[in-house]
Amino acid sequence: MFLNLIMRDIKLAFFTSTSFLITASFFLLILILIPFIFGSEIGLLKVMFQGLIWIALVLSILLTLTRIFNSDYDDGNLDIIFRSGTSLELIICAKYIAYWITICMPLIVLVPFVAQAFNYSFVQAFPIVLNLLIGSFGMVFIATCVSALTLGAKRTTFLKGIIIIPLYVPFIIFGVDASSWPILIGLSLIAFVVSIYATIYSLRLYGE
Amino acid sequence: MEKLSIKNLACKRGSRIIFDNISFEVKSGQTFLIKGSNGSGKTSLMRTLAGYIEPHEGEIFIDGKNIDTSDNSYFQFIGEKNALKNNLSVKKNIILWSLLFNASIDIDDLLKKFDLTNCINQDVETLSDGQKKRLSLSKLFLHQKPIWLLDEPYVFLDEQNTIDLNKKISRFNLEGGLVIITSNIDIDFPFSERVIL
Repeated sequence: MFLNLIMRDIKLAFFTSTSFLITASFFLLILILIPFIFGSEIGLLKVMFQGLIWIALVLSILLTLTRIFNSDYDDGNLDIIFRSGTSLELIICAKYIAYWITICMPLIVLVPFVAQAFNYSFVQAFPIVLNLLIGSFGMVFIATCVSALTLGAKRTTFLKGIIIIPLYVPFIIFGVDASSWPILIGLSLIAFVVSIYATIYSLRLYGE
Repeated sequence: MEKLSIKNLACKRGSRIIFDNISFEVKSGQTFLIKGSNGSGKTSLMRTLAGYIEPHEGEIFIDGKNIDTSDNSYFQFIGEKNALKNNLSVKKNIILWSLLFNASIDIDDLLKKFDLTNCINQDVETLSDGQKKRLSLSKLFLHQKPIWLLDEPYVFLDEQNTIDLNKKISRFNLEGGLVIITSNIDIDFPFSERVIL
């Protein structure tokens, strides 16, 4: 059933055909726009590239946050998910994995190739991809928790942004530093522990 | 399964009592109607039975055995929300449901039961409310459980589709299934018993 939940969310993203494309589109659009603002000096663009990928990731997560729990809550599919015979912990883990695959993975796959345009070799791009890989999990844990906390509330786009952006700051600070991947692992693990408890608590209130 | 017994069931939200002291008994092969005006607690009662809301007081027995409401093996709940993704086709919605119910089903056969065969590739947002309701009710056949909990199932259904739904309920009763329905309208159906909230 756990795999079914993951497959269901991936299929849903595939059927609506935007999730896989949205992160990649944001990423490419930001990269196209930046040289128009800051000029085409390759040294400057190379430095900015590391920051830009994190901004692209944050924007992608913010825009797709409602897909984790909110849209299923609004149309009633969450009722079915809760009665699927799977524990809340596994439901949440399935959501983590499916959301990471549909939103973060396309960006991470794209980074080594786009990095070539910013004068990075594949070897040089490896630490960036590694940081993104580790940090994106932590960011997904936080996003899932915020999505569950705002379940049932109306017009929460702004509220979600206010909650999420400060929590993402440590990931961005350490994410742009190539040698900080151990710290990112620590941050992601802390995010996982806090997220799973807070999400379970929020979802338990759901039925009420 | 022979019998469902509800004893002194109560539900509270904060300090507000939604319903209390609800007791009734339904035998397999019977359909039980819960009537009540808007806000009388019909949906909360159904959601309590389905395990979404923790009862404040009372117990639920199946064949004399006190069951935990988190046990999902008995109740199939169809609520007011249709669980439909509006921007997807009928077929894609059923594919997603079949993953959630872990069911392998013949989509054509399922849609035939609810006279929706022509809509298979149509986006849900283009369906009428009655068609959406029928599609939602088709979930009953994705996963066989001995008790159907149908919250306002007749809303948006025309006369013919109401008759068709009643036939499906009668057939389920004949197979030994037990049905609990909430409604605030009068339905021409041989309900075994009625309770008014």
